[in-house]
Amino acid sequence: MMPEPKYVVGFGSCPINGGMYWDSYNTIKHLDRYIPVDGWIAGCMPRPEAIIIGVTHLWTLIDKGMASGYKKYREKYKYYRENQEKVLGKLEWQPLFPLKESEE
Amino acid sequence: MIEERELELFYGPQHLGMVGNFSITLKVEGDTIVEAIANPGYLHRGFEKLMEYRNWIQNFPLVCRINVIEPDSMEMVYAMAVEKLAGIEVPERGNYIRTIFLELSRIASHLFGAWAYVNMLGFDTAAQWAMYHRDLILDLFEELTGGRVYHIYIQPGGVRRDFPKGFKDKIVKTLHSIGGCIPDYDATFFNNSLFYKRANGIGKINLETAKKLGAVGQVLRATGMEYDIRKIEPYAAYDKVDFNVPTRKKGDAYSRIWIVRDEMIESVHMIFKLLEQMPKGDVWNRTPNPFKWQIPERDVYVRVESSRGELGVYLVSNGENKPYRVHFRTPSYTHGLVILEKLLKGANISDVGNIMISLYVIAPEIDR
Amino acid sequence: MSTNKLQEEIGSLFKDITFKVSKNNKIFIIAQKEQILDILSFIKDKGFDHLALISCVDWIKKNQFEIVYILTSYLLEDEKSRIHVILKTRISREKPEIMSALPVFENAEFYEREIHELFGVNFDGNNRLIPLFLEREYKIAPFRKDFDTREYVKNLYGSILPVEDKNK
Repeated sequence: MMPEPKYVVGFGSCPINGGMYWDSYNTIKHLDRYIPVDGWIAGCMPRPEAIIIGVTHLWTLIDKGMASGYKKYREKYKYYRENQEKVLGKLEWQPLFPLKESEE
Repeated sequence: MIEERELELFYGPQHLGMVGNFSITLKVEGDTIVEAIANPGYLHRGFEKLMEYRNWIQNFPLVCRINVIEPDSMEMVYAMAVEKLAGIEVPERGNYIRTIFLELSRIASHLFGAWAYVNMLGFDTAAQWAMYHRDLILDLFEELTGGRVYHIYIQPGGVRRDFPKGFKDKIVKTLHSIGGCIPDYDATFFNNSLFYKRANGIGKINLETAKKLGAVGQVLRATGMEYDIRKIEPYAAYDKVDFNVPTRKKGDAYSRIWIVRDEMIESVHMIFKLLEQMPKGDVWNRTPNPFKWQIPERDVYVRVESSRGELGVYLVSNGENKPYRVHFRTPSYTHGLVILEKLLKGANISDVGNIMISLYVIAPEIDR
Repeated sequence: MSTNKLQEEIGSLFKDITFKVSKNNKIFIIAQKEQILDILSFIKDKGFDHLALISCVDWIKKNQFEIVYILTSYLLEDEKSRIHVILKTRISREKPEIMSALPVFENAEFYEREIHELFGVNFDGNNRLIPLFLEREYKIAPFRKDFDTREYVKNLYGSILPVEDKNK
């Protein structure tokens, strides 16, 4: 496990909504349901300029304090764990954070 | 007591010694490997099932993405199979353009393979030069087709559009700048004694074993056999141009990487000769409306020479406007599964990445 | 060795097979499933020593699977280097099993593992039929024609909304 703070950027159009393989039985379609994502870079393959803009945008988000995906993982862990178990089957590790109902 | 000396090691999917996501489970005693079990399947997207739901022409964007490094040979073999099923001819200028396009793609793929191997051994400078030269070729592709990596340029009946104005001079200029750097590559990496000491005698295979296990491509040419589909069953314009097929005799990792360098130089000379001989004319023979194009019931097996070996497709049609069954025979399937497990027995742990990348394997091609 | 001579020799040794030659010298042989190992070793002795592919086609309307073996030759000069031999056989779809080609060709093991996993065909003699690509258990083998992959995706992963619904 990585120590916090940590950030996730979805690369390409396949994590966004499935991309070219939207009807495949072996790929997951929306990465946002399984781990919290801070930014997306579209394209198949993305251009080099798009990658640079995406990564530097992540820097400005971190400076402003708006890239808080890791905090959301801790708060809404029950939602993420249910989705992970639905797709991957019984997980081999215990819940990482205490499973409590999220207050909204 | 003897069972307690064995350790099970997981050589995982994120490693500098792998190209793509592919893992091996190693059973190790001390420093030597006793048994290796390959675990492919991280990149299995089920292409052959997805292709049964789309038209003949709608399958081209899917076929590209099977091999990420060299998508053009996949397009070429699928287009040739559809042409054989439907009985379509390609005009002569179309054949010449297809050949130039495939050879440029071969140079780009060899530069990527050189980056992977050279970087694994630790020579970062020469690896970054290879990536820079590959970027110059990708700029050429972008001007011709609109995309840097995935092109969708070859279609049944020919190619999509002709060369734009001034494109010939740009190809010549780019190839001169790549070819002029070959002495630098030689001085930095290929003639370096460290490369010789680390790669000589590693992953050795002899001709009889290679033929028994079904090896093709560089693995077979390094053992002394001049096996190249471009000479055996010529397709496109390969019978109109003169070229050599480089071979070596020893069959180890050192010979395989030297063959990669020699093939790049051969491709550069081939493109110069083809550009002089190119005739004028059409580039595409018209095919029917893709939504209503029905091909009679037949099955066919077609093969081409990709940069890694013999690439083949078995295509079955049922009389509809969609394929009934597609099955790709990729060169990385035999090299990455059958030959890898054989070669890793008795090898040192520190040589696993060396053997794996010198067999010139790409993980997306194994899983499809 | 021309294709006519090969046709005579095979016709005299094996009964009940069909032998066709296409116009650019590709040979198609259709045989029964019990004769496959003998035909494979006979053709291998004649010089076709490269097993390129073992594939499987699902003919659901006739209730049969078709196993296809494609063989080419490693020779360099000779017209044999351009001949492909495509050997086909049909097995029943209810209880699919056939002898493994492992005694004749060593690289047949992984092709058979893949067909066992994706179609559900059993190969006698190959005792390493463990999963190669797939991780989950499927009720119907994924590459069969009665497995609808779009229904499966809708149930397990949730469907993707079409673009027009967002404006409503």
